[in-house]
Amino acid sequence: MPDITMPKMGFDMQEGTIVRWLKKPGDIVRRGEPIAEIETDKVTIEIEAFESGVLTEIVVQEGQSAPVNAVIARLNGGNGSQAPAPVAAAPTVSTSAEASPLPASLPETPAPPADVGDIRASPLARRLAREYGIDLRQVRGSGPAGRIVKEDIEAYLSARGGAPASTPVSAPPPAPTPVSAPPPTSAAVSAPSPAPVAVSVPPPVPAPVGVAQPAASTVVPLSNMRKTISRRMIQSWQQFPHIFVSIEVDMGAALTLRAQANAGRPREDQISVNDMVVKACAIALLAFPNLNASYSDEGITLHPTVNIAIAVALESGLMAPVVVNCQDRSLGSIARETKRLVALAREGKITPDLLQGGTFTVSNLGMYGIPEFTSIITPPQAASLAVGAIRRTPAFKDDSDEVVAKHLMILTLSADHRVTDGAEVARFLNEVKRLLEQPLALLVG
Amino acid sequence: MPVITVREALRQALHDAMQDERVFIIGEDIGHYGSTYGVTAGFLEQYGPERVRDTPIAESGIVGIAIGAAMVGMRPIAEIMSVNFSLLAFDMLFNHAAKIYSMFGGQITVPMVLRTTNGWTQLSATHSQSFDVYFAHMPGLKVVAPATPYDMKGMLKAAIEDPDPVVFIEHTLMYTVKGEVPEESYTVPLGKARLAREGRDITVVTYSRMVHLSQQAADILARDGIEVEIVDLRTLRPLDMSVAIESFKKTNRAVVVTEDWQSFGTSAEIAARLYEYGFDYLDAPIARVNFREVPMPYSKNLELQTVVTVDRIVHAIRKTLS
Repeated sequence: MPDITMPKMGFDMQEGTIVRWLKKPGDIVRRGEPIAEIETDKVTIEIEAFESGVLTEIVVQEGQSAPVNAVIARLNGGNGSQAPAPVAAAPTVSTSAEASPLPASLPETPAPPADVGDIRASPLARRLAREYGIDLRQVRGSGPAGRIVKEDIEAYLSARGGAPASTPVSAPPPAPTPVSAPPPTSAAVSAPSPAPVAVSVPPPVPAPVGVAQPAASTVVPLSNMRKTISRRMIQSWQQFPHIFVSIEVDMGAALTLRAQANAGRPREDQISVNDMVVKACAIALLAFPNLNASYSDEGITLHPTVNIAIAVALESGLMAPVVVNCQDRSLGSIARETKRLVALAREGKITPDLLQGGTFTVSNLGMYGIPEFTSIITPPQAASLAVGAIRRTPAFKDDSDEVVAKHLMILTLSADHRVTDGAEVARFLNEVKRLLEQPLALLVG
Repeated sequence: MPVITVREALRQALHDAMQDERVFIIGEDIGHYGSTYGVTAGFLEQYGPERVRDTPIAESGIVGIAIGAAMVGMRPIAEIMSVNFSLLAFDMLFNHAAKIYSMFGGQITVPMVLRTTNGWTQLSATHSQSFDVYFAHMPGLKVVAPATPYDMKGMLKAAIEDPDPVVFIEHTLMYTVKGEVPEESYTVPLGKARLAREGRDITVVTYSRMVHLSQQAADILARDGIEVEIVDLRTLRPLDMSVAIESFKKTNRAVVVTEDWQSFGTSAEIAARLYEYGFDYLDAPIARVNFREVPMPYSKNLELQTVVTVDRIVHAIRKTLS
């Protein structure tokens, strides 16, 4: 009988509170399905089952708290597994301080395992899902005990628009448009023309879903998405001379502001730390047009709008929907648009136009407790920001010798050295740091 | 085309075969008594005791004589009245008939036919069995179990002409089944399945008497708009699964109906091949309808609870489609 335990959702999480159970005793729980909402001191987040089975007992009731790893419910192992059933952060939640956005440009991106092995689906349904690039977790099963059968796949396909969607889309060529209005001034930046940049983001192509692997080593054929990622990352890594510059940000004030801003706000309207980082970048990029640019032999294209791609890990791979016109958006607008795009991406409803036109990328591995990392620039952009976890860290208070607890976060910018230099990147990061440490600027900027 | 019974179709095939001087019939009660199920009635009078030979109750001897005669060039047709008695002849069949060709380097063939019957109807545990799987398990034998009068005639003729030992399985409850049969001589090749009914929703894979019950089940389901496709395997060894697999690729669901016990039975082999060759087309677990796993009760009520019925087939199909 696998137990469901309170997951550790953040680096410093000690306990969590059950806000709401999404399942009741007797319900069938499928692996990957959200089963409860829990609240930590930072976030409210859905947790999902790691195992399939029947929920037999709720140990921690709604409103009650439990320490990390404490048993909160019991499953009677629908798949006969004896292993304990931990829960994972449902990657669908974007209200989390650290959740959701993931690096777009790490070739070895730790996307959630595409393992749908525990989902009840017929071999035919699995094959069709593979062929059409369908995430079986998105499909409702109508067969016995919720088994997904051919009919369900067909219904899903017709609801999605009939087409055997996600046919492999070859990545658009990196065609940075030569600057037509040459002076690299702030005037050019604010020109309200549409961004003519073709940003190649891996299209939502099918990735092979988990089939049982034999013990011997096997060669998994490359999905079109992997081929695209491979090609783009090689292009970037070989042709873009990367420089990496990190900075540490005290997020204490930002967390306080976020808590105040979110108080009383509906859950779907809450602002995440990532939203604040995106907003800070949007403001800072106006002052650093070189980092909102594209290199080509003809010259450096300065993009008139700030369109920030948010890397999102998906079952089928990775995509980076673009929040356009960040320069004109409030923090709330960025938050809402990000949530909308992430939801579309997860539902497989994202359209190619929502993946194009990015001028800068934000990746976030904070949800995994990663303190810092580097990312590879997505061509033809000039920079990519890697956001680490917020860690409660002992630090000196100002210039005194007093040690206090601070919420520190490390940002690492990967920048195209053909376009910019270390000093400029450092100044840019200091501006982002300033905005996050004096976060009222995010509200007025 | 004349409509005749299975019994008459078999009689026609045997008369046709008797035109060949090498052919003779041997078994219990086949001559003077006219055979238990009336298939060879009148044959003794027509062809004489040399070619229609009554024997003692000695199944091993019947099959042994047939094997020896076949080895020296005759075309014997041995009859074991009920398949239940064939147990006494298994050593002859399995260790001799099935193996002589390969153990003698292909120099000698055993072109014999063993006609026998499955069946039940308050015959109790020792006389209501089906050993299809035993025969079909044995390399070196061919095993035929047709369902229609047309196939009975054509496949018995083909079995007699075949160079290998063929077990030809009839059914006591099928001798009065009628169907169109040409008067002239013809053969239906062994080892070829046939599509018995077309449908788009589910495939029933079956053979022998269960083809007819499956047809009745399909008629009932057709009223609800469920189209059942029925594959009649006709031959168990060599087993031709091509028709069933093609059908399964279309319907993605299958029910296997056989009149024997389920565990390790013919339906297990059929289902295994569907899984093996149709895996990527499988949309639901393959269901099986078979005898309940008990020795056949004598009591009529209990017997009807044990055998395969139209209702059970209908139920299995509905469940597989749910």
